[in-house]
Amino acid sequence: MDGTPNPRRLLLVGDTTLDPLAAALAQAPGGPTLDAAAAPYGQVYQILMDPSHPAWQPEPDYLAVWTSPQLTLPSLNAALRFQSADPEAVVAEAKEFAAAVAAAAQRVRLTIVPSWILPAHERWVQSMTWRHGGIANLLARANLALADAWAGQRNILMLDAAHWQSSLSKPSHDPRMYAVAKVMYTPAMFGKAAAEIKAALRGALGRSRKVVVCDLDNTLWGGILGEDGAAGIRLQAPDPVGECFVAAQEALKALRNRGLLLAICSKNDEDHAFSVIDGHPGMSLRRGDFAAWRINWEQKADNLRSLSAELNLGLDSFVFLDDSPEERDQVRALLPDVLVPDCPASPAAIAPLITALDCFETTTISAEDAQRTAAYQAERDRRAAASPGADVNSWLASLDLRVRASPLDPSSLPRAAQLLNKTNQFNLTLRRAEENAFAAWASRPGNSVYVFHIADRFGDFGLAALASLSAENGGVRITDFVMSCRVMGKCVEEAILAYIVERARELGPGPIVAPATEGPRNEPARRFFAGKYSGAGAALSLARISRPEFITVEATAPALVPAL
Amino acid sequence: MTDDLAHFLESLRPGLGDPKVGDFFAQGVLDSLGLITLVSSLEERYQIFIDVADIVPDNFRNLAAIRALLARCGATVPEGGPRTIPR
Repeated sequence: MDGTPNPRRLLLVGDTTLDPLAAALAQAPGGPTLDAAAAPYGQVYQILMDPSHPAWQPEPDYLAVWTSPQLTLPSLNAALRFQSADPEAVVAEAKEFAAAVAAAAQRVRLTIVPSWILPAHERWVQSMTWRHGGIANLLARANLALADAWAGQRNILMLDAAHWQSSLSKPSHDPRMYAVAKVMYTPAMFGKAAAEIKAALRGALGRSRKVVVCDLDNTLWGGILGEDGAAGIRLQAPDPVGECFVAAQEALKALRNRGLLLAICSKNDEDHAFSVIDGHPGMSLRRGDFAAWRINWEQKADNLRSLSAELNLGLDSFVFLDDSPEERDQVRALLPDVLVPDCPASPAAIAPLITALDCFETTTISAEDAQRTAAYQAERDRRAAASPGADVNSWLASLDLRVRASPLDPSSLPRAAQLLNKTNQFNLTLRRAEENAFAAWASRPGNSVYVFHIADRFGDFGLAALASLSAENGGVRITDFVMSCRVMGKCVEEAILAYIVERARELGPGPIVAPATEGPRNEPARRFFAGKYSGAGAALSLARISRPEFITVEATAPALVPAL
Repeated sequence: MTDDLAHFLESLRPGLGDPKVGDFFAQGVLDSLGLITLVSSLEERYQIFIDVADIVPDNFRNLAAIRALLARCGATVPEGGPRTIPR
């Protein structure tokens, strides 16, 4: 429930030996740093059901439960051996397992469960496998029973081990190692599992990448625009090379649809490039799909820095796609925070590369995600609307800024948790919390969380800020003050602070404090609050807090959903 | 003799490349899980297959035993210093 640094402890529980997974997790690249330990194998129910089992010491942060259906579900095992086929029994056993996992999940921050799979060599009777009672049919029912049982539980992430299995070029299971040491999976499968478990944890912790910056020539289309001309680039069926670039664009568009920002960084003539982007019939991505661009002859590393400033997002949230090894090397060398995947030489491999990237993991996709690119475009319009001579206050006044405040409720929880975990700059205390933990904290007596929807005449920022209060020592502490970087620079924080100070006043007349946590990037929030004290006082100075006149604040109670 | 195998084993686990160690298991250099990892690593590096009957402690007790097993499996272990084998 706090921002405690690494490593985090992960308990691995399975019906086979999972020590190689612990080793693979230690070697897998990327955060978070994990201290993974495998419990003795074959005691799944004992460990899940018994909080006093020694496996729970020391207390883990996370739990992963990886079992095999043939060992965990006796009825499925019987069906596998043609002894019986009882779908109801399989589902009942799956539900029993789901309940045990759900109970254990309450002891940790997050639980990860790979779906049940069978070894690829198990072909059973293919002609009957999807029939009622067939093994594929039973396995699907069992997995669906788990997914349904945990549908309302955001603290359990069910991952798709069938995808892991099919992504490998080698077998996933090794009967030799099972015979020797009850190790069911191959090193390749453990490696994939480790990578995916870490990706899932990064997603839950809000550590995913947010921006994809693409080159144009031989990345979004085939050929070089400056040499081949708009008519000569390859970007359409029936040209197979053109088809591959269409597929690459579609893959990027899917990322945009789920909240990633796309940007362009290309050495080209900007007008010429936009003549293609706006007008070429083969383009899937259009100008409106890009949040920002640098189409010029500058160094790409400089352009990426400037895109980072424009989008107000750190380079550690950037991914850079470029077909040129030289450009990739330059960016890797100068901007080590940027993720630079090796771009394949074959056009056919670009779309698969994009769809296989595990750096965009998330546990929720919010309405704000779907509107994100439009929001950045609105921001460009806003800046353009500011006439060069006008002062900033009249520009702000012209925006017609509106803030709608409401208590946190179940409908706003996923986005609020996303905001809490992803925001680095305007974040007073940098507290991180998985959804469930945040909801539990919010519902404790003395604590309250408010969320803020922000809009202006150019568009809707959605739920873009949150603040929480805790009654403490006769006064009130501002425990969180988090605002999306997209609404920075508009004095919205002044209006929000004024609003929550009013709420704090309702709790009592004691001092209101807002101790900051110093992080590498949250200077904007700390600086803002530093200006709200007078002299050396430990409490906020109310005289320095007021709502700007040009911002409207409206409070809404949650309509039909109970507050948390 | 120091060859690619000794260097490789030593890189996997300190002590594993030491020809003077008589029993990796008795001396705590290897356990059964370490054995599993070792088998996979050897298979990958020398492009061999070690069958289940051969995955027994006796074949991995010391450097000489491992060398003999690799020879039976048809592995070519380069002599001299460590060599980078393309993966």
